[in-house]
Formats: sequence, structure tokens, C-alpha cells
Amino acid sequence: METINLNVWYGKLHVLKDVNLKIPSGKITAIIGPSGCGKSTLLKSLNRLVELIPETRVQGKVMLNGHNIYDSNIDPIEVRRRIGMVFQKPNPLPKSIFEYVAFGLRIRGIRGNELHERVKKALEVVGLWNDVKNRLRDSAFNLSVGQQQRLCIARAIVTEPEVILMDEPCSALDPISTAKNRRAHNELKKQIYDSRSYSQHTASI
Amino acid sequence: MRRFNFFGNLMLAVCGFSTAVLLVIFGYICYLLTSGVNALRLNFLFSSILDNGIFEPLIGTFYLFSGATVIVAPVGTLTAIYMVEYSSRSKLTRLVDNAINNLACAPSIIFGMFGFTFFCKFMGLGISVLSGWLTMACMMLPIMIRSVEEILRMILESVREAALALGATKWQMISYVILSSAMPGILTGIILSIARIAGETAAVLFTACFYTMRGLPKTPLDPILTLTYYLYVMILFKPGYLDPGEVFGLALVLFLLTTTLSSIAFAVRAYYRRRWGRWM
Repeated sequence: METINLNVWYGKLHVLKDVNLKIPSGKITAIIGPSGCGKSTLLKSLNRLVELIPETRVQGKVMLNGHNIYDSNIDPIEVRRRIGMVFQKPNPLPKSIFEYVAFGLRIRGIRGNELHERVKKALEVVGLWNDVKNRLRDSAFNLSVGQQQRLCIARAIVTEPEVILMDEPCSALDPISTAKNRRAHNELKKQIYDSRSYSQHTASI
Repeated sequence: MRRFNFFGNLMLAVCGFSTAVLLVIFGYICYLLTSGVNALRLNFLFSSILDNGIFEPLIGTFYLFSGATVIVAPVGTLTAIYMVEYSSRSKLTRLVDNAINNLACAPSIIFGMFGFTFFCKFMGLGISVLSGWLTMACMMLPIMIRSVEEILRMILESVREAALALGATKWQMISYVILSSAMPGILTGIILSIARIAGETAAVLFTACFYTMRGLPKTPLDPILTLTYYLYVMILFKPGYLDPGEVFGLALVLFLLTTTLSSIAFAVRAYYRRRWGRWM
């Protein structure tokens, strides 16, 4: 993944100025900087989520496998399906634990056994399966913040995206949850995403 | 110092006055309960108006508002979704917004007049259940839209972001995520708007009810009787047809019906608030 002369404006505010960045495949890339310097904006512009903020203007290219994701013939929905994202604060959907993780698969039309298998696998990767396997139908709000955040990671990886963007996924967590989360990240890298690019944004680790 | 005391006393007087008024109303309700309660027999509820019962108006009330609800629930929900999720803050949406606010507190007789001229006469539906449904739906619509809109605006932006970041299309986001979180708003909207029209007389007076109507309507183009209309007729035109106790019984049934509906609305809201925490 690569950005070429990426510029982003919010209204008149010029947030990203000529960002040129190469993100190697199959590795964790961390982006560090003081708060308000545009880390989140950069991440959101890598999956075109930035376009949803009113009065935003994007200039420049973001290349993924040789294609500019901002090309006019590229569907932003397709981009977001290939580039997963985990946010700073867990932002649970108002659904049961199972549906929460299954959401990304359901909107791609995956059902039945495959759905169950993939949700289970994703929950195992983030180390939540044993905690939640008996209460998959419960509301996700009953989990702790750390567990919710791992659930968000499960939600992002279950669709096997090519790139995962993580926007300070541990900043809202205590050190123990952070350690568990990092273990989840490393598991991730080992198990499934060997050959894939995996970029993470942590200022506090 | 004197000025302050003057206002203090004035406020005290205003509070005292409104408390007194509330007490009087409360007293009247107690009176209603005690005078009407003797008439509340199954016999009274389930025999025809020809046998001094209230069966037809009771069924008619349910028939009218269930039909109106079936019309208003999808229309109101979709309008609210459009207003929150799709429309930008243009002049037109502000106009629609103001129109909804004004309609929500417009006197019901105006809706009755509108229904009579538009549905009964202009569209040729006559005095019928169908005209009643449509008129009531018009009255319910602003309440329905407001309740759903209110809850849609409470849904955190991050929830929408989460759904879109997973590659959901806008419609998938709305149908999978937004609608399920808006469910309590939709349910309370339905029940609150039913509660508003269940006690409605003026809107059905011109559009749906006909006193000479006997039995239940066979098609939606027949007229119908409702509890409120029947009470109105009993008091104004047919005094003495029912015993005073039975008239109070009729009023009591109406009162219980509307209070039950609003209590259900509150219960539903409370249930969802406990269940989904921050969304309500």
C-alpha cells in the first residue's frame, strides 16, 4: 500500500500535506505523532472513510495492489470491504455478540455454516471464544471495554481484509487488556495474515 | 426586597393554583372510576349497542387505529430515516421540519375538516373506515416521525462509521444497524400516536362515523362507530338511552384504553433502555 502526494482538507483546514508513505505488505506499520497531528485522518483516508465527513476534500493517490482507490471507477464500498478498520474506542453495534462479529459477513451475503465457522475462528484469534462461547446471543454491551475492543478486532478480521487499520486500539484500555490485545495482534500476524499488509497506529504502545 | 417578595408570592400563587386544578382533575378521574366501575361487566363490553352494550364502538376503535397504524408506521419511519440519514440541511428540510412541528399540535378538528374535504369528498371515499384510517394516519404522522427522528439522532456517529467501515452500503447500514437501534423509537412512536388518536373524536366525527350505523362494517368503505363518537352521541343526542352509570362506564373504558397504551409506550422504552443502555 502506498500514498502519493496525499492531501486532505476539512473545509478550509489543510490537515494532511503531501503525505508520501510506503506501507510494506505482511508487516505491522506503526504511525506515531502527537494528538491532533492527523493520524486518524490519514488512516481514514486509507479506506475512504474520510469522505463521509462533511466538507472534506481529498487530493492525491492511495495505491493498493497497483490501483488508486480514489479512482472515479472504484466503488468506496468495495474499498472498505477490502480494508478493515478498528477504531480508538470500541463502537459496538446494538446487536448480540455473534451478530456483531457476523455483520461484515452478512452484508456480503454469507450465511449458514460458513458464517458460524468464520465467526468462531475470528473470536478464537482474538482470544475471546472461550469467554463468550456460551453467551453469543447476549448484548455486546455486557462485555468489558477490553473485550469489546477485541470484539471489534474480530469484527474487522472476520472478513479477511487485505489491510487492517487500527486507530489507537489500546488507548482506552488498561495495561492488562492492552497486553491481551497485543497478544491478539501478534496471533493475527502469525496465523492468518502472514502475507498481508497490516498497518497499525499506536501512539502509546 | 419588596419586588422579590412580590414575585415570590406570585409564583407561590401560580403553583398553588395549578396544583389545585390538578387535584380537581384527579378528583374527577377518581369520580369517573368509582361511578363507572359498576358498569364494567363483560355483558356491557360485549353486547351490541342495541342491547345497551358498547361492543361495536369498542371493536370500531381498535379497528380504526390498527388500520391507521399499519399505514403510518412504515411511512413515518421511512420519512424520519430520510430526514436524518439522507437529506442535507436545506431550506426544504427546514420547511418540512417546521411543518411537522406545527402539524403535531394542530387541532384535531382541522384534521377532521381536511379529511372530510380531501378523502371523503375529493377522493370520493365517503364517510368510511378508509377515510377515517387516512385522516387518523395524517394526525399520527407527525408524532411518529418525531419519535423515530429523535432516536435516530441519538445513535452515535461512531456506530454509523463502524458499519460503513466494514463495507456496508448506506442502505445495509440503515436496515441492519440503524433500524434495529431505532426499534424502541419506532415502537414508542406507534404506541404514542395510537394513544393520541384512540381518544380522538373530532377527526372521526366527519370522516368515519355515522350514528345510524348498526353492526360492524363489512368493507372499509362502510362507516363505523368509535368509543369517543358513541360517548359524544350519548351525551348530546341520546341522553337517557344509557344509564348514567353506563355512560361513566363508557368513559372509563376509553380512559383505561388510552392510559394503558401510554403506559405500554413507557414500558417499551424502559425495557429497551435497560437492554441497549446508551441508545435511549
